[in-house]
Amino acid sequence: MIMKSLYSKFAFITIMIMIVSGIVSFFISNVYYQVKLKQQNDEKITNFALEMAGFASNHPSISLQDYFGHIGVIGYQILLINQEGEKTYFGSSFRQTNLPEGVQERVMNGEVYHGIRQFPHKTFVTGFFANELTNSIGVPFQYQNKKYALFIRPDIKLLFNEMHILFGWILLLSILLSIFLVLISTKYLIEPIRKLNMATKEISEGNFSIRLDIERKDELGHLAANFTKMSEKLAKVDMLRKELISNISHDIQSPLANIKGYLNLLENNDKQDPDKQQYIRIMHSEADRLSKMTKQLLLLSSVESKRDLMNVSKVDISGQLKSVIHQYQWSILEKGIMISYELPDAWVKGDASLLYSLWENLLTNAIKYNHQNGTIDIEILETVSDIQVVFKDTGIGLDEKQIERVFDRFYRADASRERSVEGTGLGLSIINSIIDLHHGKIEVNSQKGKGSAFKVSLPKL
Amino acid sequence: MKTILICDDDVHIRGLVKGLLSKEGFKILAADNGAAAFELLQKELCDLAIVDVMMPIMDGYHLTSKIRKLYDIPVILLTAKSQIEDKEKGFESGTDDYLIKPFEPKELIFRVNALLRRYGNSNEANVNLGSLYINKKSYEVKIKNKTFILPLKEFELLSFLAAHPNRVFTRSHLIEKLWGLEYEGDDRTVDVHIKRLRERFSDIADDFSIKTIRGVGYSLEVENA
Repeated sequence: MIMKSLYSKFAFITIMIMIVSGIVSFFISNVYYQVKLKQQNDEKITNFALEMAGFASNHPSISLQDYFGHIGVIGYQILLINQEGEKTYFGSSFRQTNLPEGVQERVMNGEVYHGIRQFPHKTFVTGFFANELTNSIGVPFQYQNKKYALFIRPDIKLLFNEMHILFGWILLLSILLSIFLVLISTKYLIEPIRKLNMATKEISEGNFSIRLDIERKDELGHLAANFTKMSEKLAKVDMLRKELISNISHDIQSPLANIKGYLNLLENNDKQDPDKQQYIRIMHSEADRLSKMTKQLLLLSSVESKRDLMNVSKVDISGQLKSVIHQYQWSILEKGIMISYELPDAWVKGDASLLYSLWENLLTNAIKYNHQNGTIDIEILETVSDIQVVFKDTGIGLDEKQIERVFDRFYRADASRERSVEGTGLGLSIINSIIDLHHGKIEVNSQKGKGSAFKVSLPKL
Repeated sequence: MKTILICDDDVHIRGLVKGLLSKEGFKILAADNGAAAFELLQKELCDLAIVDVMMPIMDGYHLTSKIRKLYDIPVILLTAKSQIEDKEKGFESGTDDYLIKPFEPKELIFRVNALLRRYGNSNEANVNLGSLYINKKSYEVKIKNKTFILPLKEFELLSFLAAHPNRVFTRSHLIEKLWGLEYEGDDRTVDVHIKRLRERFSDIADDFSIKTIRGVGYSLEVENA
């Protein structure tokens, strides 16, 4: 049997403990009976037998038949043997009526037979209940000058029948009840662990706002309380991280905005000096590069850290695309590009801010690598299993070799250095990571000089 | 003269926006926090507000939602916060547009003009011509279910021609109408734009086309709609 859950292990072990302790305690009490109680029992019954035999020999006027018949009814099993060897039984019968060799003669000759004391040891049999003639006391006596041998043992069945049943029920019920209660109590004991387990899973999926309804004062209760505290701390850390990213970008981008803005004013004020104009343009593009680099590095770090901590929800792809288009409308029109789009409602499951960055990167690529006065077309298509977003541009395009290598990690790492003049080179690696995180895929269709189409497929809701 | 309110705690940004927009012929009011901006709004009539997000006393989201409740003027949030959460928060508070620092000065002017146009009570009618629909406020062209956003001059040229279908316009008439009297380029400019429009729509729309009337000019002709 393979036991996967703590619950079944715990229940199994408890029940095993009950069984083993039952066997061991039976064994120990059996030894106690054999060593001590059997002796006492033997003495007690020998006394009864001697008493009966004495009474019979002292009252020759009483009929033996009547006397022993009477005692038999009260609760003894009796065998009476006379000089001639005739056997008469009184009371309920023995299950086995053979005596060991020579016992009958020895008792007849005046010895006392201690059958109970001598009854053989067996590991699982006490001998107390063995309804055998061997397990009896034999005493000699004289009656009307004749020798008799008297064998008796208490009729356990008659005397203790109700007790027997009572103890039987107690034993059976206590076994059944304890198994039942073990199953229930184990469930109760294990339940908080199960809840904690679920909560841990939630946290690992990035949901920190968990509530554990475990109200206990024991170690598990403490664990649950500490666990809740921990998840609150984690939530705080997560929030601080997000705030930090947002603030870093604020603190870097604001001064850059000023630098760019004032450079622009400077450029317009001093159009005569071509050298100065050239320097200003360089400063301009460097400020741009710094700004983009900061944004993308922050994004890349959040993509990396999100590998296990995505903030998954239902995302309105069409709305996101429209807002991305709106955001970049100026850079598109500035380059004389016409953008066309057909965006029917489409929803996928994913991280809203990562997906937004994905569209941003795809669109800025389409603008960056487009010709002056080109066209960009964005479409949402729906297949049986996927939502597809296609970005088509009329840009410089890629040849077959470039397409092969454009998603090659090594090539990308290399290209980022080559391309550093134009972009950060992080765009494609961001695009790829985000699509990976969403179990999607990207296909490139391109012709050198004519343009490229990037098709992103994301699994449907 | 249109009045624009700029609200930012960064004195350099205020100076920059003031410099840029004054040149474009706007009157500028400046405030360094949300509360001060709100007081200014109560005193003077403004046509548009440019609001920074992170400000002391009253932040940009708060100010935007207050403006939204009391005034019918467009708001542009100008901020360095580019996370989508920040953007969503901005639109929730009711902003019309969102411009991320560092911005191109020309982009700011473009967006200001676009918003003023959208809010302005221009009584230019939208054009509906067969499958072609031109929205003059949002500057969008729609054909069937597809939306097109064209470069400004191409849009103006197309909507002007589409507003007067089958009428022939000379090149100089079009230059004067769309580029203005003081435009110093030659008539070729019109040809270039017409050529681009043709290229863009030849595969897409089949119920209108721009015809060259030899020796005269251009005309947008509707084909039996």
